[in-house]
Amino acid sequence: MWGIVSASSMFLWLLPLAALPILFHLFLKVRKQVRPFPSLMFFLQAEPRLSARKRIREWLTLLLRITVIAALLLALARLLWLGQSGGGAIAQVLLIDNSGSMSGNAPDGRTKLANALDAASGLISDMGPADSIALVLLVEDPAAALPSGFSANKQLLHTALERIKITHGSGAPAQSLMQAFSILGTASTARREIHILTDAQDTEWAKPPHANRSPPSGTAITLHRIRTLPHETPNVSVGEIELPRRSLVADRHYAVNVTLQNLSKKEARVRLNSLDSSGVKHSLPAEIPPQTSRTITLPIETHQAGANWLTVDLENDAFEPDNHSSVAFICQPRKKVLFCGPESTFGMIPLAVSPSGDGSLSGLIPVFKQKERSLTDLLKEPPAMVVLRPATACATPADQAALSGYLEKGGNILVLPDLKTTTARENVPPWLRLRFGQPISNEKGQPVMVLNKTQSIWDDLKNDTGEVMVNQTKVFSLLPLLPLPGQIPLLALQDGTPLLAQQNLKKGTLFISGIELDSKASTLPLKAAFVALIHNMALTGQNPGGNTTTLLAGTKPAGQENPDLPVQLHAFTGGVMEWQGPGRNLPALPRAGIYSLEANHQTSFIAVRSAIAEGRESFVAAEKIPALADLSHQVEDYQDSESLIRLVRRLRTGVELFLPLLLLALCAAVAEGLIVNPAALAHPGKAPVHTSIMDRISIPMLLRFWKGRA
Amino acid sequence: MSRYKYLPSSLAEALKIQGISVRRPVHGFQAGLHRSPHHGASIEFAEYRAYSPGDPTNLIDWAVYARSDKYLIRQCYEETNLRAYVLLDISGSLAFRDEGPVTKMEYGCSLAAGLMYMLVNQRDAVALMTFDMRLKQGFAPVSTSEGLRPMLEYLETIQPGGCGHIEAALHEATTRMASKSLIIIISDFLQNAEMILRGIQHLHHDGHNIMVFHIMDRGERRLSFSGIAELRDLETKQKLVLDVDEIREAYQTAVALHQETLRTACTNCLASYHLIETNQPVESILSKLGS
Repeated sequence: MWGIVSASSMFLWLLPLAALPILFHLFLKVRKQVRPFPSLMFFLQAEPRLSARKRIREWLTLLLRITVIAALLLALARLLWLGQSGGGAIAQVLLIDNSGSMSGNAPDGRTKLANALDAASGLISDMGPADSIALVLLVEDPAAALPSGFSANKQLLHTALERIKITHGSGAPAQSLMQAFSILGTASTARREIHILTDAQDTEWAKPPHANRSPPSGTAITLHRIRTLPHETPNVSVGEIELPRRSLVADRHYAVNVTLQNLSKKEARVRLNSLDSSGVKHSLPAEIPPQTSRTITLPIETHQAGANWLTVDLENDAFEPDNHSSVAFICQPRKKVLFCGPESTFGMIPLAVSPSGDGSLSGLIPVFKQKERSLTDLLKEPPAMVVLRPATACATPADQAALSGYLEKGGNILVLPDLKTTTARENVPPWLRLRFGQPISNEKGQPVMVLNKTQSIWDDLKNDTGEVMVNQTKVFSLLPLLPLPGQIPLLALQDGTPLLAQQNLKKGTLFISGIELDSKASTLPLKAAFVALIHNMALTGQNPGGNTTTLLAGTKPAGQENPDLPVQLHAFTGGVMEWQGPGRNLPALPRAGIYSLEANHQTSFIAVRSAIAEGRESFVAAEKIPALADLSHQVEDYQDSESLIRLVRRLRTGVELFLPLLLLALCAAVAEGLIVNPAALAHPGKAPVHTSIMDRISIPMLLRFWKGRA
Repeated sequence: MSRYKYLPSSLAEALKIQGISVRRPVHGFQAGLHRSPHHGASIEFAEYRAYSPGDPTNLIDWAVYARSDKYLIRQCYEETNLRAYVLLDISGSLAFRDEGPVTKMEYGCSLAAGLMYMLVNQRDAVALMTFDMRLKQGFAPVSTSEGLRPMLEYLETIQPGGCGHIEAALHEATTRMASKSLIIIISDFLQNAEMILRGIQHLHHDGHNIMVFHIMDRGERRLSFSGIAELRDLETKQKLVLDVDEIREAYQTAVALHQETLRTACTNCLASYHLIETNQPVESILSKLGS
């Protein structure tokens, strides 16, 4: 196979300029004098073939001039002559892109990964007896179990190729190339090649490298770009799962938000499926307008305390690898809500905390403090919330200290107004010395308005339009709150008089109510949102993350404290994966799902979601790849494995024709000068009698040529 | 004579005292200045020979008989006039003029006229023949100035043209000329030297005295112009585009070789060879010849 490829094909378009000497020859002929002469016998006697010789010389000169121009242009076009000879062992690294985008279809209707594997298989089959090949993946995949380093065993390499599957993550070209360089550095052969089989998606290949890299000497890098067939149906990607912004307890129903993004220009009709750790499945249809995002709310149930997880998948879109997301979280066991006083004094609140009284639906159990029991004892096991009235709750300094400690550690306290009890304010801790205004009563009731709607307390109380569903509440009697620094009003009368406020004190949260939460004081307890409001108050605060993390597919879990300790990695969902080894070798997690990581007798959970960027249909189309900008490389469009093998064979013996062509141009120029000025050959010391055509072309001659009078 | 274009008065006056001699004996028809192959009544002693019965007795040298007692007859050379034939080339190449004041044809005509006048002036008989590929025109020998008039007038009418073939013309001329004459060839000799040589050798074989006048223009000889030129052969009309500067040296060498070949051949045939450039005055050439 022979062929020539050009690195700067722009100059090839200028090749017609090589015909300029012919034009000059035709239109800029040097004028000759016509002279009668007695006889031509002496001329013909001196040189019998004078006329023919002159004609030959003219054509030769013309040919040489054409050669000069053509050779210069071809030299500038940086031609590479692809021959067939050459020998010696070759060490090749096949860098296979197994990122999510490779699951898209190539022009032949098969996936791009299938094309890449075909190409790799072809190269393996084509390798010579002394050659060796190493396989490197763009997205690390422990399930592929590729042979480490070079192998000359074709069967082994073919088998390894069969284990390469698509992943849900984005690749890291820089890391993969460094791995390839490292492997190539161990090769003893002089000829080294890296063949990158990829779709050149922008996500991975459009970013320039951070630092210059230097491959082992003699390394030829070729990127075989596999073309992509555009999606015919819309592609929707699944974003991060958003958990409720508060503590999660067992035996409750929650709503989580999942963001779906339609990247295409058509409306997408998809179905979102979810599976939680309890095995509960949900499936919701969703319609997403083109190039927009939409948040879908999914119900989840937390049946058990401890680690829980949720995975979601999408159906009916064009591209699968970006359809997966998952989250792992810790659920706390059922928690108590401590009421400092008899049940009858707290209105509708105990009922709202747990309608059944045992926390079976809410995960919250109301507990009432008896007079004989100290608050210190009750707070040893921190409740979700303490409901109290300042004047009656803190009878002793010990109780005050216990309450302060509870609040500092992240407890929630709901303070109700003291309308009947007049206890000395000295018994109240400083942070509970709240100021209330004069009582206000209105038999008809005064409407209230919601303030600071972005506070997490309102999260579950909003309807589809974003309006908090307590707006129709009317208040009949209240103690208006006098604003204090740090207080965030949540509910107020229409004139702005605050009724309910929130104050964050250290890790804890203090809710101050100016109204009794019973039906006599207001209609709030009659609202359906009342239960949610009370629950939100009780569970305010960050959910303890514990030992759960969320990662993007293709990334490695965080390093272990002791990297030498053995680690076990196990997949709950998202495919089979069992890995164990020292913590320093912890592999990347290439696919979305839930994984458990056991190290030093402790188990942590890792939720892996797919990379949204893999769904983008944007690819590097240039001749040079930005991510390889610091490396000499060649980009070839992949057609099929046979074409690739032919190309690779030719590239292996390619010869850069720049210098030969430059020398040819130089030689042709010298030869032209000697032919045009034969006197220079005969009498080297003398000035040339003739000048070449370039010297003969003067401005007046060009003007004549322009005017057509030449 | 002043009314002739090619024999102006000044030339005629200058040539009046000039004469032409020949190397080999010539057959004349009357007493003249040139030695005849026969013995005659001149005063120049030739040889003695034994008396043979029948010889006139008045030819016996009695002084020799008195000393040697032998009858010897004293013989002297006969002096006669000569017949000269001027062969003038009128082929197309003679129309060339570059650096000279006149064309080669005009110069040749002047030369022929001068030579004819010189010969007639010393009472020799002269005839004119013109040729290109063959003889074109021939005049009978005349030995008077009056007889020269038609030839001088004819010279003025000559227009050079056609292709020349000197050898053929010379062969043809030998059939029309009396033996042991003076043959004067005026031409530019633009033909293969070997062919010309064969014609001259024919004339030499017939016992003629031969004089060769090779007329060239200085520009033709030196190739004085330069650059790219399209040369057109005046005889064959053939064209040739060439770079004069490139071929000049080879051309001059070829011309010199041609001249040398002709000169050597003429020497071998006892012919006198004269290379003349058209810018040389005819008068000086003929004067040098006469002296």
